[in-house]
Amino acid sequence: MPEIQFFGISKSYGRIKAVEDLNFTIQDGEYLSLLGPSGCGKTTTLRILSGLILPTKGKILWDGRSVEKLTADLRDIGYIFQQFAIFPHLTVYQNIAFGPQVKGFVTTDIEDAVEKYIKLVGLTDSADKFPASLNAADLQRTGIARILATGASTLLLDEPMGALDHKVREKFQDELRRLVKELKLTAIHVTHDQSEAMAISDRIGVMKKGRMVQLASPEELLFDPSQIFSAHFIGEADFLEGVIISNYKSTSEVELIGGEIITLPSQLPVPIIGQKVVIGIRREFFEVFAIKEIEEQGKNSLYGSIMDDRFLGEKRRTLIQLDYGRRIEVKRFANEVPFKNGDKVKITIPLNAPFLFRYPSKGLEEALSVT
Amino acid sequence: MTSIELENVIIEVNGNRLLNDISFKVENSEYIGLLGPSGEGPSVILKAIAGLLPLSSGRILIDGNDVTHTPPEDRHVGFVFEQFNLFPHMTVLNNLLFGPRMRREDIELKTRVAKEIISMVRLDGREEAISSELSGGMQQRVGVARAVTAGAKILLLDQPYRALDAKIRTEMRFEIREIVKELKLTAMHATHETEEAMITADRIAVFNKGNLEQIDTPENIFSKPNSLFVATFLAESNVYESFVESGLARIGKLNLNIGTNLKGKFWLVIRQQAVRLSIEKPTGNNVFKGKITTIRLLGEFIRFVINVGNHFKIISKELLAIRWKNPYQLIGKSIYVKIADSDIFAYPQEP
Repeated sequence: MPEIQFFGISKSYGRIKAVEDLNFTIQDGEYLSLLGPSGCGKTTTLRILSGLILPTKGKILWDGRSVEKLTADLRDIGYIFQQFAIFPHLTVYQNIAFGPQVKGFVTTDIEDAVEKYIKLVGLTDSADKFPASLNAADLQRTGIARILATGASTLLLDEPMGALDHKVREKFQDELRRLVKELKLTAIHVTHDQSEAMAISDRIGVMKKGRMVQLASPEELLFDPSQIFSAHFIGEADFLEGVIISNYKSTSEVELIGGEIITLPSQLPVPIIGQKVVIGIRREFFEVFAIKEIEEQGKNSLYGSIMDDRFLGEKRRTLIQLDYGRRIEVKRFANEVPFKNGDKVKITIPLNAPFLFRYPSKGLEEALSVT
Repeated sequence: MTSIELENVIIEVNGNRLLNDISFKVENSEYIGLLGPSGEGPSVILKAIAGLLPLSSGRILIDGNDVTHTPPEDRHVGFVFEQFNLFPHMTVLNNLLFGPRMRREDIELKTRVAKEIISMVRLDGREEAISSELSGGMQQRVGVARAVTAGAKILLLDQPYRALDAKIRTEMRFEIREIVKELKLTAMHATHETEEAMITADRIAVFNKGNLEQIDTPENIFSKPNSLFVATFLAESNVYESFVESGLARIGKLNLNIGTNLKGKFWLVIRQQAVRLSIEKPTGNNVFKGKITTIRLLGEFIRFVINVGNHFKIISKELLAIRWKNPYQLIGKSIYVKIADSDIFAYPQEP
């Protein structure tokens, strides 16, 4: 049951940097996910952890010991892929027994291990079935049981639910998390599915272009992201540029490009007056009201007109042109009042809704780009 | 200027009925979403229209002409797949001109046409870009442009967004519809995702095991599903067995007001997103006090499992809101559940 520390880990292939300067710690017993767009380096990170590839720079400490002294075998790692590594000619029982056999367990230990893990993954009744008669989820359960039966204490999972039907994924996520917690394993899970990462993880590492952008709990990423990219990549948000104009005891004020004043809870360090900033607001956090005529500018409000308001079933997607030309997109409850194109609206921003960011040094567009 | 009509189309392969007596008409320049479980009806319909799968019986008409036995190349149909199927090392322009060259068409003329279409799909300045170096979304647009250059009046899209990264998918999901509308194409788009169909289509056809269950506008099909299958396929739902009498539906010991004069045993469907939660007791019908047992963050949505008494469980899904900050502290807390009469659908149970 290890604690795994990354110190300045980089991996380059020629001039291409697959991952760059990764510094983070995976706690003992933690369920950690790595999330990011294709090519962000999440799978490379997993493979470095497994020892399958060596970093170009940096070091990893495994329970305080440098991994160079630990062969992949000694790290007690189990690697689980999207494709099931199952022998078609062996039964579920034989497949699970294969791992401990290879490791040289004695027969009674093998039997104990198989009985234990086949039960934990809920396949006791399918012990004598062959893989051809199993569904995708049961195949993956067999694969996981086999890995666990070898005594792996750290699970590396690379899109383990990629081949599963959407309908069974949630159940599988719950099972997998329960298994990891019950057996006090450490799990590192690569996925591109946000809701999967949120449901299963203690913390999520959001990656972009080989770097770790933010490593935080799902709640923190949703309600209090520290980086523009994580606010953008997790869910959907609108970003507005502005300048800090005043700081009070518990609030700060930002003047947006359109002249609106947005009050937000102050943050540490207290921003400097005149500092250029970006505020991010989740599209579902806005509130939109119809107005008859131009009102006097209200606090924490934007004004504009409806460009499109579309019913999408479980929600409405409302596109609004702000009076000074910018467009924002808002998500509303499906049963809220529909708008017609051209309707004048007031958009209010709840006090705790906006995220405040320093203006990115390479510009907003670069900060938001996924590649 | 192209309409498509399916008349009593049946397709059987090795004794499996893939399409069961399907009839409907797609109007000129209409965008139809074909929605159903992966690999079922929707993809089969597209293949049938393209001429890639022969009918066992029935007819397909394009612009009133029977094309049931017309070879695929003479149907003027463009197919866009999940995989982009472009020549990866060719430029965008050469991908578009590949077909015309093979057919020995007037290349000078076709080049002018192709350039115009490239600009219509908003790839101006990318004519000479190598197609595999473009983003997934751009490659998908090249696929559309190639079909149109080849003379397609009908665009068949088979899960066109599936291979794209989730983030790119949300950003570009409005694009194909806009392009189709701009080019005045008739389009059919197969998907298993409700929201994708709701965004793109003028009308949605829902399929279940080869049967056409319902075809209607997005708004109507979502709000007035005519079967248990459609109601539950379109959105995650609570489904209960109940006995209905005098406007009340009994589920165990609970009575729900459903404002109908139906009587008998029914399946009740309440979409998760129609179950509204509040801390303060709301007024009106169908208000219950319950306890939150499970919370799941889904991203833009948050899901609550709520127990009302010991025997009634209901799931609520809401858009994420600031009030749900620190969500897990709510587990075990009491909350009020409210369900509007109009959000409860009832379907008779089989006799």
